[in-house]
Amino acid sequence: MNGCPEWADRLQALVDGELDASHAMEVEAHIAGCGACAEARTALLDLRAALRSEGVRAVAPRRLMARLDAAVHASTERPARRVFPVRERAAWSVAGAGLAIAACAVLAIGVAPSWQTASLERDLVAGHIRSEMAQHLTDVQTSDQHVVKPWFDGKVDFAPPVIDLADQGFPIVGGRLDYIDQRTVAALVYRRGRHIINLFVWPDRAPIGPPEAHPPGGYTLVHWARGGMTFWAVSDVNEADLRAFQRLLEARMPS
Amino acid sequence: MTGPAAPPAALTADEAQRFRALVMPHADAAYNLALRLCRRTDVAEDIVHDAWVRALAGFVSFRGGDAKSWILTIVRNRFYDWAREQRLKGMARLTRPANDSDDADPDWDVADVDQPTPEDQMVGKTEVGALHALIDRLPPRLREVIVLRELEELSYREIAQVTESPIGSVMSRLSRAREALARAWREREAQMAGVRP
Repeated sequence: MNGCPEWADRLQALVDGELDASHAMEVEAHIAGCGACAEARTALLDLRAALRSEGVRAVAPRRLMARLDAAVHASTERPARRVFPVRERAAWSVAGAGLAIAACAVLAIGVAPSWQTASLERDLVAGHIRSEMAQHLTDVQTSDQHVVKPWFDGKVDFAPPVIDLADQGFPIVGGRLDYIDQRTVAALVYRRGRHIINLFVWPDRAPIGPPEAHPPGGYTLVHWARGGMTFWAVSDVNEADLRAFQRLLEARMPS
Repeated sequence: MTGPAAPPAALTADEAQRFRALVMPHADAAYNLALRLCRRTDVAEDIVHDAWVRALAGFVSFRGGDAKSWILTIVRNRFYDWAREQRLKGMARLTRPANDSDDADPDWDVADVDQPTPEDQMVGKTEVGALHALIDRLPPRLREVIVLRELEELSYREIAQVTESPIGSVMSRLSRAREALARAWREREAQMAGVRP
């Protein structure tokens, strides 16, 4: 880029489309009679062509897009619950039956409309993704279940069962509050090797459809209900591990 | 039910819709800038995510203007915040015993112009890898203007806004960045020609 030094700024501005028509013509006229500046312009355009060739500009990975989407979702006001009368009705219609079911573990199938389930699962996965970011994982951090349990007292109006499974390879690492499906829920955090499992718990007798075959972002979701509580385990461990986690928890839950 | 877990500074559904329409399309631009500045994919993702969280918190006060420049300004500031933290960590590390366990902490490893970046290993293999390596070797102030002009196609005025610099500085940095890149590119071409007679 060894053009005339006194023209260098204007040459660059020309290449960058920053000159008005009359100045552009002036520079063009100079280039027409100056081999060095003509070469300098070619060099600028060659460099541009190289920089703009495919693959140089990075593209946001899908994982990042999911995080950004979750961030927008998390800071959006939830509409009033009344907007979803279907869900309320569903809850009431099964409330009676719910009492009967409450005593035994139930994996309910296909009652809620699928769009409802999908948005709930998005919330759950978003909650899980948020939790994987540093400092969001736990509000109370401990491997002692007897510390986690009382921490929820007064923060939520129910008592989530807090069970440690360290001896089974699923140590509890803490708990926090999360906001799922327009309500504050308890999130218990477990580890499986390097993976995190979020166990979301809230009281709900309304049966919910089974998890989608392909939940968002390749996460695994396992859902069950027991004792008037609904449980959602979300993780990137494989489904077999998550099912095992569910069975181990259920085995230790007070009946 | 108590509400400590309710997300703060919630946007209305309309505002969220507007955010998605105005800001989300610039996610690639944000990531591209962050990645070229910090040169680590994991850090770049965190920087962009942080920028999004801040942008969401401040979106109510964003009254029009160019959304791309706006979000890129936030991304760039987050990068310099991160770089400052890394420098402080690096300094703290120097004052600790040599065998302190923090030596194993990968976070202190600030992108250093003189250190080979992972991309360097690709030089000679692919053109794209070589270009990344060449950009990454520029000092950050030159790197950001070349990225904003050639990859994000911002105008001088927009670059001045994003980098909080006078237009004159933008132009001289751009010119120095191009000079350095063109020289390095010519050298590589010559080398390649030497390898393939």
